[in-house]
Amino acid sequence: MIEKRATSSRRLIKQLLKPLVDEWGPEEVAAALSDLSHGTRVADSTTGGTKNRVRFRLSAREELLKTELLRDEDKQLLLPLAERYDAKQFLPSVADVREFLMMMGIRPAGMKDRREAFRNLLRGFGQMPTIRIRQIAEAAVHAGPSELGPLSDAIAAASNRMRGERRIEEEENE
Amino acid sequence: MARPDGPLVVCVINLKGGVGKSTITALLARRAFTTRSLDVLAIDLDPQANLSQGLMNNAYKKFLSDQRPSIVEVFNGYLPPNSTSGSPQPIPPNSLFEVLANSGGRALQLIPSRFDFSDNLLGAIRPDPRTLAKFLSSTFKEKDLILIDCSPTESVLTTAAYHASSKVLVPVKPEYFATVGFPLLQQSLDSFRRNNRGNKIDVAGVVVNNAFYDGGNNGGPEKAKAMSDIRAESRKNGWPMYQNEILHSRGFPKLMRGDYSYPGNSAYFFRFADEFFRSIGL
Repeated sequence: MIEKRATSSRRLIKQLLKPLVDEWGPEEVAAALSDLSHGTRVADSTTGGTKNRVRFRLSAREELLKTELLRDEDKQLLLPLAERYDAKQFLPSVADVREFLMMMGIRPAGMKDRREAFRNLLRGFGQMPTIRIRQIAEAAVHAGPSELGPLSDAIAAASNRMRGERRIEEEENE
Repeated sequence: MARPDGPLVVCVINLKGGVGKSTITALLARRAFTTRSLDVLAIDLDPQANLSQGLMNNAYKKFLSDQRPSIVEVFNGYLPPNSTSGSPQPIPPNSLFEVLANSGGRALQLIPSRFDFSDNLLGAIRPDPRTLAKFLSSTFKEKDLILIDCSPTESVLTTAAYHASSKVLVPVKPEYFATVGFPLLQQSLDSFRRNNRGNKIDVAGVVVNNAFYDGGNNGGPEKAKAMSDIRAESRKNGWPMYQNEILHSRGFPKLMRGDYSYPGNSAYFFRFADEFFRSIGL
């Protein structure tokens, strides 16, 4: 009985969604559904209930693999970037994503959280040729605000290397 | 698309430190690329390398550890021996800049600086101040806008910036010592024009930075006095002043270290930026 009700309800949802998918495509509809549900979904529709909800969030890696906006080759290039995004080692805040998109020449649309921001990134990458995606994947290093400590260490290390070499040269010349 | 008569080169200078030259250069370069859709090159001519750090953020560490070429190599004219080459090497085309962003055939590029820039110049026979102008004319003739961030101390680098530029942007803070750099800058420009009659270089304008303090009281009598001095000195030198001041904001240092959250009053930078671009015909 429960199984029959679930099947019929799924059929009805599909019927309702079909014109939307035909008009806007699966990506847009999925993004809009995600916005509507604020990242929640029915956990087990076979129970027929709507009370039992669980948090449902795709990681950036999963979003990337799932998207139809990118070719497989481009997805492979972007995979390390998506993993760093999940670990907040790349574009750790929505503001960072907004700035990154602007620097790529893309006007950022409204973004409420990092997941939504990542979908914006995917749409941006979807408009780019593979060569450009490769460049970005290799060069995109923005990992949030710079800190004085590591920068200071890098300057000191480079200074020792350069000035040390020069001192040896000068001593040899003397 | 490149300007038909070559890039417009603007140096940002005041012979007084701490007036916001590097911050203004960084924000103008980014804005020119993102909202004006221009092909932009920024040049860090200051050994303190604040512009480089502000535009590259965490990537600046890697730039240092990779020993990638910088403005030092532009003036030296060669790449020094390193782990892969046992002798000095010619500079390959398109190797002397960092690409910060690109889109639709245009880019925002940076020739970064290093702290050892001053060491290099100290150790060298006086470098030719025309080196930078020659380099730009051969390598970057397709750009729309080139912005040069200058050091506040007058040196051969200042002359190099003058040789390469047709416009000068002068940031100033409305404080007691605000106009200290003005007579020095005017003398420096006059001297350059006397010695280089073929070069046409004009002050595009003076921009007042950090324009009010303490929650919007607009600085009170101290600012009023400083502003009066700035106007008088600018008039005396024949330098126009921009109508839009750059408001005081804690958002500016945040932007310079790559923190784009809550920009505060720095979000109003566009008012001055748009006036500046109009004033130089972009």
